[in-house]
Amino acid sequence: MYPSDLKYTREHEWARIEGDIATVGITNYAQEELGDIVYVDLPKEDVDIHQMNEFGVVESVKTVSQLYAPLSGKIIETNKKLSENAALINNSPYEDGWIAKIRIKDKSEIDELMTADEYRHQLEGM
Amino acid sequence: MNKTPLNELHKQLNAKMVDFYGWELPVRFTTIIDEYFAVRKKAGIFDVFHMGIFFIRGEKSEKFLDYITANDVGKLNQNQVQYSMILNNSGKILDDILITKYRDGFYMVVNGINVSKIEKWLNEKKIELKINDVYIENFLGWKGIIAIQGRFSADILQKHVSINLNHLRRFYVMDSQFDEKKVVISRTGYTGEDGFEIIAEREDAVKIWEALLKEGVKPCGLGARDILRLEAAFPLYGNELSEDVSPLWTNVSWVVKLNKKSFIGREALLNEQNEGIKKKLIGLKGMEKVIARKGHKIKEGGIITSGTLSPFLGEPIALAFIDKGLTKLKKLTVIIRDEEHSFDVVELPFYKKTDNFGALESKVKILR
Repeated sequence: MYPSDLKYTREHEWARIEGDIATVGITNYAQEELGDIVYVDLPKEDVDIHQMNEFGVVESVKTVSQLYAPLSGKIIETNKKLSENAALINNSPYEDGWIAKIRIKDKSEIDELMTADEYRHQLEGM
Repeated sequence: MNKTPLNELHKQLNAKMVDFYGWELPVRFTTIIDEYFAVRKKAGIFDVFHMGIFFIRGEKSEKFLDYITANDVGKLNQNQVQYSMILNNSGKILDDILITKYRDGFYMVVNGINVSKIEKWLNEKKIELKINDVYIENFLGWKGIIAIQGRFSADILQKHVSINLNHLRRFYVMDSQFDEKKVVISRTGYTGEDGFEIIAEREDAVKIWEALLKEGVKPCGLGARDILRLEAAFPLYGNELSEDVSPLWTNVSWVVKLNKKSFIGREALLNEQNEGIKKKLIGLKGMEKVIARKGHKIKEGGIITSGTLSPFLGEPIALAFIDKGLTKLKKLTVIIRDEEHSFDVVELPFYKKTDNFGALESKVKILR
């Protein structure tokens, strides 16, 4: 449910860090809470984002949820498949349902993120 | 928080529960879209024990209700159900209700959020009008409603009830037994499909719910209910209807019978009609995937009251109040998170009964 190779935010985003690129999405917990996801307001490419600032929106049938950037950097790619089929996030939150790729600006920010164990611990406390 | 008699059962089924105006109710059991399609294609059941039920009896009860409500109570046949509204003196909506002429009085079903407000209003008016021979009974905590909705709801319900459902017309009720439990069955609903509302004793609710679950009927939450009613363009109190809204602005203005001699709100509505009705409730359909939601503003002048993704159309839909001067426009601009999005003005309802179940269905099937 919460892969150990990923880093997590308090706001239920994940980041897969490979070199200076981070692929980001929302966690299994987040997609379950939201229910049927029907629309993703994807961030624009080439835009600079800042850690824990809003960079997009995920809408389910029932609610709207903000996306918070796990790390600062530049958006280098977004998952265009989500424009056609936002439910990919429900079906595959960590693989096909990824949302954006970020070129990381400051690697020291990674320390601010949670490990899978820490994230699971947060969920248990909720 | 208030709990329905089915609360524990919902939790056992792992339903996601929410606080709905002080009631702990299921928003979904599985996914909202699955529950939606269950109702459109077969049948689903809904726990609506949070709805209020009053029974009003006494020699003057018909006269009293005719004065309290906007529709014509005198037109009701025995066991017939009527959609109506309770208005305040300014002609604004205190609640939208169902009235049923039943035995020696009238059933009145009111919105859960309005139960205490309406009870107070009824008792105040009784005193003001100096009517003694009217007795108002609140069934809250004693009786409630389980709804079964969907094109096959009659076939499924028939297996458990003593009456022949073929003899129960739309907007009528009949006394019946449900597996030996005494109930009243009303052929009404809030989904745009055929369906029934079962008025049952609180202590019988679990048995009835479990019997229907065993028939393979899908339990449905508030989420599916909201999409179903929105596609059918049924207004919701708290969204389309409120004490700031005149019934003449809405798509259910037909409930107001201004030719009735007197009822609360009549004069205000006559004045409004003479001066010109200022707003209108319209339907919108999105040209993109983004959803216009309650509170979003319309640039040309207006506000969204409800919005969702319509599984039937595969597109966003919304209800909105617009200024009357804009009713000729074919497109409107909704401001969503500071960006402008174009919506088409479309006729209501968004959904009419069909065998073509919906644009999203094929997609959902491929995915699951």
